[in-house]
Amino acid sequence: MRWLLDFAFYYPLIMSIFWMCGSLIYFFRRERGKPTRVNPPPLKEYPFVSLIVPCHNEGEQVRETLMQLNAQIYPDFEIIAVNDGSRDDTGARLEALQEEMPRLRVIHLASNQGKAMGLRMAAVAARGEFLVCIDGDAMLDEYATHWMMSHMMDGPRVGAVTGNPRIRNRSTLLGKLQVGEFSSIIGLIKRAQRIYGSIFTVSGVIVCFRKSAVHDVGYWSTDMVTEDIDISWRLQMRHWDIRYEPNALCWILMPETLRGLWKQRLRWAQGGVEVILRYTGSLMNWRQRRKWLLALEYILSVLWAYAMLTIFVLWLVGLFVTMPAGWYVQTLLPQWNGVILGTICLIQFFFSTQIDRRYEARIGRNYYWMIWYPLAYWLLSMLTTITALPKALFKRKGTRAVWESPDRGVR
Amino acid sequence: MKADVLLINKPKLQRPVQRTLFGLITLLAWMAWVSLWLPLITLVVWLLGFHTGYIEVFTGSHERAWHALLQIAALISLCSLVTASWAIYNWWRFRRTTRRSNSRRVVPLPAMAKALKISQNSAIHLRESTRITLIFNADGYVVHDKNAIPFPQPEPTAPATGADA
Repeated sequence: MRWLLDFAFYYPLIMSIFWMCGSLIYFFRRERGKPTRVNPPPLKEYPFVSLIVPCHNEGEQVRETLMQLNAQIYPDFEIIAVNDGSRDDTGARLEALQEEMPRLRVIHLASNQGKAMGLRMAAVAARGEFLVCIDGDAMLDEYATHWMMSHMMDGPRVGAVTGNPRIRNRSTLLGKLQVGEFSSIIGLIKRAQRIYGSIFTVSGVIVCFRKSAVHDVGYWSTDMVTEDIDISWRLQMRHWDIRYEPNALCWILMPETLRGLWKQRLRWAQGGVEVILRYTGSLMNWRQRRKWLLALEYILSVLWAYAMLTIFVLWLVGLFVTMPAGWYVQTLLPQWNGVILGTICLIQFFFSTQIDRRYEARIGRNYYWMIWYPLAYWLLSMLTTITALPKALFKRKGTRAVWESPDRGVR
Repeated sequence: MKADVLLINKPKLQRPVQRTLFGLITLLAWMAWVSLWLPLITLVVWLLGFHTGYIEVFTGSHERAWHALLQIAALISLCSLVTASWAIYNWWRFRRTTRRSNSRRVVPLPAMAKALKISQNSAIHLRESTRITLIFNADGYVVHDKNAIPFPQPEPTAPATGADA
């Protein structure tokens, strides 16, 4: 029993310390004193780029998204919008937009085939060797393509560059918490993982791919619930490098209802578990050693969720049945260990907001709301992981992932 | 573009009850958090000798607190060392291996079509049109395409006249 409690305490503590150390090394090596977002260093060359936007029922926001995309400060690009079986007026709006934007091309998929299939078709249509992919409700910063292409020009091993998603909608408590989460958890983890040498996943909402790399790994899988995690693993297992570019900002909409948030996080958790189940066997050789730490980290996070569940069940049973002394859980209320974990978590938020000030002014204002994160989001993460494992284990092989319209918050 | 222009921060779109409730419970959460610090605040009080009576009551907690803090300091040192060593190893090991034979290769369209299981014709139509509709079967394969609108042909330039020459 002691080891179970120790694991539940030390796992998040040690991971948090690792993330902070890694992100600080990243910050001092790659961010501090470097050019600002609006002053990117010039590139050696500016190859033609295809900007891809898969859309499903995005009629309300597609105009805003594409107008913003069209304003990229990059000399030579095309925009390919994939209307993936939308039931609203997305298709008609895209065709109308073509009149205003000569560089816009439209692919209609007659039925809903899912994001992965949309990306596959867009890759065939693309005339560029570099594919910048964003979601239909995302707003890409004008300098983002330039920043991501700077990595592509930097080395031939770079297969993908993931950008820095930022939350637009922050009216509710859930919105504000996600603002903190994306800078404190997601941004920090990506920085740390770049230092370890391997990134768990690109952010599907803002990522640039090298077409030859995507071809090399067999394109996006249509049967994985999160095609971005899947392709990240396959690229890195074929020794393509994935970079993180914090200057490549992309403003996104996130769920602001518990139901929407639950569905989204469950999908992410299931996607992670599916990838681990599919590829862990292939990692068992020395050439894949850079992925070992990532796989171990994810497996430990799943075990942690089940360890927490076990502790909760033992506490519950202990309320009604006399438990052996070694198995008795006195209380679930955070005591001294809770103080330490919470403190480490708040220090992590502090570090990340300091690093993140470069990209968003007044980000520190969200700190007040972050007190909820250790409790609310760890609980959510635990519950989604517990639910996701059986879903991934018992998923019928080959089931295709298609679009479901997400909650886009209070607007 | 200033990033702030894109932000959607309209708490007033929530119902007043919802807004007040979230603000209030967050305040309560901070109060609960501060209360969790009482043992450590007590430790400071003890160190300053303001309340010697607390010594007997809280000694155990102090020892535990110091032990935990020392343990965390050791963990931070260890994790920093491991992360920095691994980062330096990665940089050293891969500093010269930037060559990749197939990265500059442009993937031929027929190879893409074959890999994605679509016909050569559909692939060509996709590549050469500004608008196209793809029809899929139940297994997710493109069965045919329709309504392809090709790129506009560049207007022919006027033949050079003798005056220009």
